[in-house]
Amino acid sequence: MLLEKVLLEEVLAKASSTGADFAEVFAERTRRNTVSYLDKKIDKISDGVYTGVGIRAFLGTRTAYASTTDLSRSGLLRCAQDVADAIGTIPSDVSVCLTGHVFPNIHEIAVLTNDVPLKNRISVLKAGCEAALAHDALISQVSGSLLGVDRTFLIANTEGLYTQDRVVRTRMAISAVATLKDEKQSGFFGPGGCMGMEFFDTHKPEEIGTVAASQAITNLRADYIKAGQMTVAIENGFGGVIFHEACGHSLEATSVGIGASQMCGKLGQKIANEKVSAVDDGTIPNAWGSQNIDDEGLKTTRNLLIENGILKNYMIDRLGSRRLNMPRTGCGRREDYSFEPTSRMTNTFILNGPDKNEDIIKSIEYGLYCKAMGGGSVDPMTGAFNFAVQEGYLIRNGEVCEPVRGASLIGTGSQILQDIDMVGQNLGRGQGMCGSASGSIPTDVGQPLIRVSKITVGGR
Amino acid sequence: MTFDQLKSVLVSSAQEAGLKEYEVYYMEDSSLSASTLGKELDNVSSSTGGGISFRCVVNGKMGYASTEVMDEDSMKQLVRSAMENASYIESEDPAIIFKGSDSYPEYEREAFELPAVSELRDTALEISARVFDSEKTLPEGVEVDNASSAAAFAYQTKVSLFNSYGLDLSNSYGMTRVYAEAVLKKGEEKQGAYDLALVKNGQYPSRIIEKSVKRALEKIGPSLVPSGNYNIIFDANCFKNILGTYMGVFSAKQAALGLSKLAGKEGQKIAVDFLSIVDDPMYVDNPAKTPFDGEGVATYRKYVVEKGVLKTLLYDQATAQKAGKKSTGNGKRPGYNSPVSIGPYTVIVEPGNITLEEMMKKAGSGIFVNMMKGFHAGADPVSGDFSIESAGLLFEDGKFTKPVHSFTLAGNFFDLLNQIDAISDTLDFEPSGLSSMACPEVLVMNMPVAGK
Repeated sequence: MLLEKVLLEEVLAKASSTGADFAEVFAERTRRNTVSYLDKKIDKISDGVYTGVGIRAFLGTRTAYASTTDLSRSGLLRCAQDVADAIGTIPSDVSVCLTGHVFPNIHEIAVLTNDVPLKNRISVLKAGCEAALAHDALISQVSGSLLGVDRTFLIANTEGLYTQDRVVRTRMAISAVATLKDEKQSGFFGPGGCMGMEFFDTHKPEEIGTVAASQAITNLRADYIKAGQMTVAIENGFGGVIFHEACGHSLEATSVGIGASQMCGKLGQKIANEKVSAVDDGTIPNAWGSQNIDDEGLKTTRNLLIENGILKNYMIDRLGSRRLNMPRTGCGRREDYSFEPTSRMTNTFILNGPDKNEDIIKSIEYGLYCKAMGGGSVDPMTGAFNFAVQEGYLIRNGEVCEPVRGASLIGTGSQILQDIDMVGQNLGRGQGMCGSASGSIPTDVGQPLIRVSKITVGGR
Repeated sequence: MTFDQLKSVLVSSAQEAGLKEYEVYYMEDSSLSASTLGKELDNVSSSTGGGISFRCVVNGKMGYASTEVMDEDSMKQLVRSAMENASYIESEDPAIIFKGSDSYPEYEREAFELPAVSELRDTALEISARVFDSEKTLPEGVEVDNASSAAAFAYQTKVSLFNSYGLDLSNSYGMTRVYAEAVLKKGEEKQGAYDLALVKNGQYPSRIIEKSVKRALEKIGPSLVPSGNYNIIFDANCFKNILGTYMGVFSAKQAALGLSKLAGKEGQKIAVDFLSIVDDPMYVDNPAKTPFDGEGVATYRKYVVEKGVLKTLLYDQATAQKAGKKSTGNGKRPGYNSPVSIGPYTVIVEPGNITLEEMMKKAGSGIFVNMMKGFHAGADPVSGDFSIESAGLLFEDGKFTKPVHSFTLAGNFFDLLNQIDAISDTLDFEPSGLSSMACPEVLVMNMPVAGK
């Protein structure tokens, strides 16, 4: 264990010594290694060890948080005292008794990435990047990275919990740039998993590079899309970013719990087309956004958010649970010990629906087919969201035609959820980093092919 | 262990390993914040932390390693890891540990100490109370919602750089800032807006309350705009966002890699002749100043673009040596664990000589854009293309008429530099750290908008 039980009991008692009704210690030790490729060479290797502790206390829904990299007894007690000073003024004598708890590990790791000799990791990365370069003579630049994260974290709290977990993640991300005269266009692909180097048994590095390169080439040959409202078909995998932005963030207790979400008070109501059912599922073995337990020490769950268009649940962390008076859902997450956890998505996706994929494309007389999506953002209060189309094609008379570029999609969540009027059957997930109040965390987005009957497509 | 103790372990390990060129980079941060939700205190936070990184040259290649574990074993491991990492580097960029500049900018360091938590708490509560108090100035039917919030926060950063040539530099800076977010409610509709400001001599400007309330009020009851071409006035923050997204194109490294369209254009006209962009690491109004960059090179104020001409790209040591030039002091290390990367410090777009009112008259009608979001997704840093979700106020005959939202604004950054029609005379600056921006409002006629 990262820290001894007896010391943590003392630290928790100190943090609770001014009247807090709950206190928690989160300690972490993470090794993060990134090998970077640029301009046909291994360009940089970064190798860092991160360690620290975050202590928080609650008094009702008021919170205090302090973090430090000083893990000595005196450092921890000072940090606990800062929390106690910030949360209350009523002296209270609290004794804490911790009981060790081991949660089952459902994410088996075969080969720890950071234990694999550098030269082997380098050859895997090069295989991906060189495949991108070799894809087409117009590919002018390729950059890539191979990330290995090994994170061990401990949680102890005044409810007696004393547990520790380990998360291992591996990701390869490749960017390719295609150049023709003065024109430059780019492509990107960055799959990852809660896995070690065995990730590359099922995700061939060469395929990762080829996807990035072919996207850049497609965009180079594409014309700008003409802006306007139209019918749009969004492909599976990272296409699920539409649900992540249009709805996911607005279902987090962080905004719902303070009345700052378009989804407040809508439980049990029809918020989406009846073809839409969606989950947040942190329990998928070895998925990028999975953990055995969340960063508050609760086992992750498969949380049904929307069933046949009806809002069934929110994503709820410990503080959100107090604010909403509803149970936690195992989604309290943070980038690292320096962030206070809050409700976040894990692997969030729309489930398969009733429509055949070919029928979705055939049904569109004129519209946009989004084969690959980029990132996006949202204002949860109004639900106004945006995201970028990374690879798009025009649809004419039910057929996918020439590529178009420069498109972004915008709308408001409540409207777009009603307008998802066809849901296909090829559910797939894509990996991304999600940024919010508790930092940048790995999340999966996902969906099958869907049709949005009308959405604003930004372009020229 | 103290930094000096850690440093001496690193130095003796490096010497034992036979290293001739190496560098130690150390950063220490502390921060405090207090925030409110509704009228109540919501959260109080503090943090202390930092880390150390070691880099060294082995056979002409640079290796890095970093840690937050401050003990003797970790320091020894740091040297071993950096050496191993160096042995796998293939980049032909020159690996340079710098001997030091002849002189460094001198300035009067503003003494900064983190305030007491109680001071921040009282300030946040006061701002919050004033936001709620402003309800009496609002039109009938509009109220201040309990999702409104306020915060006061302070941070302090200390940086030390020590290398095998005896270069021994240190710097520190810090600031206290405040934040107000007004959420206004009218019927079922809620709209929010925020503002931030620096606390000077213990005082914060009242305008953050007025501005956040005014902006939230202006957003109530927005309409959609028909798609088409509009005259656009970017408010200072929106133009900062656009420029900030594309500052990478001024990096000599990006240019050398063929990832910037500005490659080979130094000395050439790239923008309208009334656009000038300055990089100033010692900008007088920014409490976060640095006399040296992440490689120990003295920093200085420079025109990046002067009257439309690209005066210089930004260089670190490696790119400068390859180009036969001198570093511009822009080899930054934003975190202790970051390798050197090229970037600007405080970027200033020089103001023009036309007021916002005159600008609106010049345009006749159009959209005053005061919200743009999703740059990480909707802006391509290589091609310069962008298509960004925006909101703002329609104007006609020099007057604002109504709020509009949910439209995209599309363009290309490199084209935009030549499409600017006017720059206002008011410079907006709010420091956020070493990388901050000062901008006026900017008019661009006839831009494509996608709405309803």
